[in-house]
Formats: sequence, C-alpha cells, structure tokens
Amino acid sequence: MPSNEAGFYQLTALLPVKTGPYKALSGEKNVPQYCNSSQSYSHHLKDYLNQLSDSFLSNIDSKSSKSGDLHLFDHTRCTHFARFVVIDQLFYNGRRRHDSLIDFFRTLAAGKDLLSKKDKIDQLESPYLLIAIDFDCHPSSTSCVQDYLSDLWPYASQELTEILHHCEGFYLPVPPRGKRFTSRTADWNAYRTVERMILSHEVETTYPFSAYFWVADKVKRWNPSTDRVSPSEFKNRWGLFGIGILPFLLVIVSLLILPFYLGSFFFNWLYEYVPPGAELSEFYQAWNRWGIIGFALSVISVILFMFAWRYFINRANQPMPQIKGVDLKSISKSLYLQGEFLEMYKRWQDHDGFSKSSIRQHFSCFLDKHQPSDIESPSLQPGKYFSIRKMS
Amino acid sequence: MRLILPGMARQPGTKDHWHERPFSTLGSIGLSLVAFLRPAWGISKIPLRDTPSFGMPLGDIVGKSSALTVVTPLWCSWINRFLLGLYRTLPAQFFPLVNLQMIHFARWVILPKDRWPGRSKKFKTRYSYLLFSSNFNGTWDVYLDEFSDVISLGMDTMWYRSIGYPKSIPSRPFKAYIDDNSIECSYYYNALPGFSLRDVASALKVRKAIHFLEEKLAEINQDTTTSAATKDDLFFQQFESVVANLVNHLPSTGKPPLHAAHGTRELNL
Repeated sequence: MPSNEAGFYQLTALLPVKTGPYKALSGEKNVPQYCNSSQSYSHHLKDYLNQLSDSFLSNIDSKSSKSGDLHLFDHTRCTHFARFVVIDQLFYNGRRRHDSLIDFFRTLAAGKDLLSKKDKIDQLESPYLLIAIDFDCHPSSTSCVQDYLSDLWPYASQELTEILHHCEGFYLPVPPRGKRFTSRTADWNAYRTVERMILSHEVETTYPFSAYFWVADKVKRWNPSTDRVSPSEFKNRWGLFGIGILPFLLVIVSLLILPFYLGSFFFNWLYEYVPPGAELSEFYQAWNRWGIIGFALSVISVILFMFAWRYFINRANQPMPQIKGVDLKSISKSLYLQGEFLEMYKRWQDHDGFSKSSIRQHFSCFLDKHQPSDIESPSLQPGKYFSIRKMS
Repeated sequence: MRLILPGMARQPGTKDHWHERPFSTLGSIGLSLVAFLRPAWGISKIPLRDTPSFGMPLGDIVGKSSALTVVTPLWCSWINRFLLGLYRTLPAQFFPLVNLQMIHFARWVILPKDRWPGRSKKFKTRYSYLLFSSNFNGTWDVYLDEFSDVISLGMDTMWYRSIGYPKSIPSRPFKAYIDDNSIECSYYYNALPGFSLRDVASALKVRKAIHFLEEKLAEINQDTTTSAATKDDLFFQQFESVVANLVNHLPSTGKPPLHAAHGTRELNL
C-alpha cells in the first residue's frame, strides 16, 4: 500500500462534516466561549482548529512557553507533520477544454451551439475534514494507524473527540476542555469510535514522496573521510516500466489489426452475394486469413492487457525499503548532536588552541556525555524551536 | 571568539572587491540610475510589473516549513493513476527535486468520483479529484518556481488530466492555477519548526561522521602497542580530515521566520 512507504506512513482521511447550525451536545457542561449557535459545524470546527493551532504556535518558542508544556503531537515523538483542513466545497475550473476543430465539427453535426449548454458543476453534500499526518511506521506493520492512534490517544483524547464531534457519525459526549474522560468505559468507547471513523474514512495515498528517504540514502553512500558519494542502488526500473507501457502498445496493435477482422466480415458477406463465375476467392481468402489472425491477436492483447495492468499496478505500488536513522527520534538526535559537536569544537579551539594532544580527550568526553547511538538519551524536543529534551 | 573551521579561506564580514563581482556592482549602478531617471523620462506611473496577489496564507507557515494543500478536478483519473504508477518505477526522475532539498513530505491522492468517503455509491461527482499536499521550506513563490524550472515535465504529468491546468511553463499561470485551487490549513503541525530539510541533511551527515570517528577512536584506543602521543596524533589526523568535509554542515541553522499567532490571525479574519 503506497500510504506506508520507506518507514513513513502518510495517513490521509476525509471525514464529512455535519451540516446545519452547530449544537453543543447535552452532556457537554463546559461550552467553549467561542461557541455561537448561529455558526455552522464547519465554521465552528475551523474556529476550534485555529485555536488549537494558536496554542501550538504560542508555545513553540521554548523561551516564552511554560516549561514542560507539550502540544498533543509532541508527545508521540514520531509525528513529522500533521494538518487539518476543512474543505468547504470543490473547485470549479471552468469548462473542459477541447480541440477547437473537433468542437467546430461537433457543433456543425449537432446543428446547435454546444458551448451554450450549461456546464455541470460538482458540489459536495457536506464539507469535508481532511486529516493528513506523516508519522514513522515500520514497513512490515499492518496496524500502523491503530498503533499510532493508541500512542496519541492518552495525550489527545479531548482534542480528537472535540474535532470528530463535528463529523458525521460521532455522537458521543466530549469531555470538558483541558480534561480527560472520567470513566474508563467512556474513554474506551470514544477511542474505539475515533479509531473506527478514521480507519473507515481513510483514503489510499496514490503517490507518497519523502525526501528523508533520499537524504538518508545519500548520507548512507557518503564517506566522511574522503567526502565521496557512491552511486545509489535505487535506479529506474525499466523492466517494470516496459510492463506498464506494454498494455498500451497491445491496445494500439489490436486497434490497428481490428480493421482486417472487420474487412474479412465484409468480404464474407460480399462473397455470398457475388454473381456466379466472379473470381473473388483468392482475395477473399487472403482477407479471411488476416481477419482470423487479427481476431486472435485482439483477444490475446485484451487478455494480456488485463494481466499486465494488474501486475504493473501491484508491483509499482510496492513500498520502498526503510533506511534506518531517519525516524523523528533519530533526526532529533542528529540535530542535537550537530549543535553539541560544534560546541565541543569551539571549546577545543578556545581552551586548547587546536592542540593535537587534547582532541582525543575532548571527543571521548563528548561521546560519554551525549551518547550518539542512544536516541532516547538527551535530544531535541519535537514541536519546539531548539529546545533540548532531557532524559526521561 | 570567531570559530575557525578547516577550509575557511575568507574572513567572515569582509566585503568583496568590486572587480571580483563586476556584474552585480554594475547592475546596482544601473538600477540606481534607472530609479533616478524614471521621473525625468515620464515613466514613474507605469508599473514595473503587474504582480497578482498570489501567496501563502499565514496559517500555513510553521517555523521554516510551509504547507500547501491543492485540490484539482481530474478528467479520466485512471490515466493519472497509471502515470503515477509509472513514476514509481522511475525514482531517478526525481533526483533533481531531491537535490533541491526543499520538500520534506508530499503526497498525491486521487479521490475517485464515485467513492467519496462517508457517502453512498449513489453520490457521484462529475470529475474525480487530485489532492496534492506538500510540506516545504522557503517561500511559496520560490517553491513553485522550482517546480516550473526543475521538474516541469514531472509536474505536467502529475496534473496531466486536471481541468484547466495551464502547464508549469510559464510559471505565472501555473502559480495562478495553484493559488486558485489551494485551501488554507486550519491547523498545521511541524515537529521540527526550527530546521529546514538542508539542516536535517547536514545533521544526518554530522551524525554519520561522529559514528565514523567513534569507530576510529575505538580502533586507536584498542591498539596497545602505540604510545598515548601517537594515538593522539593518529586521531587528530582522522578528526581533521573528517571535519574538513563537514565545514558546510556545521554552522548555525539561523532563526526561523515569524509565525502567525493570535493577533495576526484575527487581523486576517
């Protein structure tokens, strides 16, 4: 499945938003200040998401935010990016363009101006909430979304239920703002509903692209001592490309030889009605032979088309392998090490004046203190500017 | 104290001489002359360029990363599905885009016209839709210019059957098309707001170099036949050669741009 590629899961879910004016649920004791009965669900949801976004942005700077004040996605340490977008309506980009000559002849044939016909404009029955999250997941895992949601839930139960409360199919009570569910049963029910809704409204990502994979591939091939980069093992798969192109070639071939088949029918019909004594037999037989070959090739090409298409799509959608060291924890650790390495270099320069005899000592101390192989040791805190995450 | 790294030739803060960059110097003089003479030539009221108001909604920017969400109608979406499949077999075609190091994550999702989530099969739109979502560094303009300049053919095949798609060259109609079909995020989260993709790539290199030096240090320390001074010398040589290759990957990442919070968002409403 292309959603799960190279160790990253690109979750895409589209959930229909309720229509009509916003109504707070009966069990909702703490109605937010921004709640306004004249608002639609869509408008109310946007307001809530904007407030959530502002709370994230106001705490993004570690200097001004309260210590230890983490945002909902900060806790997971595997979420690279996340976005919630309310799609109110689809876009209309005008009439579909045709070739002018074709339109001219169509107009002549129809006897009236086809362009004066009213164009059909797509409209959604209700707005949609787009949830797009990029998070780390092992390529062999079949329960990426479930595992991710269960990790996220303890820190984001209130926010997720509040968001999904605006979507069709969610009718459970929402806990007061800043608080969690009081009973475990209510918490479990809400979690199961949220998980079911996201899974049932998930859309397969057709083409995922992750630059981290390619960056990691390049770093893997880089030699730190010589600064040389060896060629990548990921090359164009021309064989599979050929299999993808093959169905189209077969269809073109079958379309070219089909006239011979139809021609043989015509001559067959003609042969039955020719006057006695007319010598059409050799010509007819030649056409008839080509017709049989054409028919056989058409059938074969259609069968091959079906198999080749299925095979191609399945093979092309196979996920790329995972390259270790580009999950969020490893990247945070790398960024942390980068800063600390520079600090060590600076100390070596300031205190020892590039002394040959002391760099070994400095580097040994650096390794002991920052433990480069241990991604759980001090690292950067996700969701903050340059904030160091202490050991848990 | 200023940091001195191997390979640093020019003193930071020193200016280039005019003869080292003649075109930029002459260009500045030329522009100053044009600015000075414009009123005299009577062209002061003629706009230099008719710039449309494209751009990035402030809610789509978090730290150094920006979000772009585009939904476009598609005609004959199976062709796009096939083309996207073909691109999956040709990863080398994206190497120029990878080398630009602008995009963290991107996705193309085809939404079939008869399979809208949460809707019955009776509900059907006239067209299928292509959802494009991207997390990139830099400005909106530069990002789309890169699409237009570097991988125009790739972009044109990705949006091949999109209704009204003007192709990525020239870039101005392309930008207008993307702008018209974009939707602002109501919420956008970025785990590493202070770092761009280039910063991440540099950090990964530094980490690999640290692991390399760690291995070398272990090898040198294990050798019991050499003296401590020789070990220091051997490690210094390794360290020097590695750090010389890291010069461009060690400097500070710089400050991220200001984000839109509270007052700014309210002002936009």
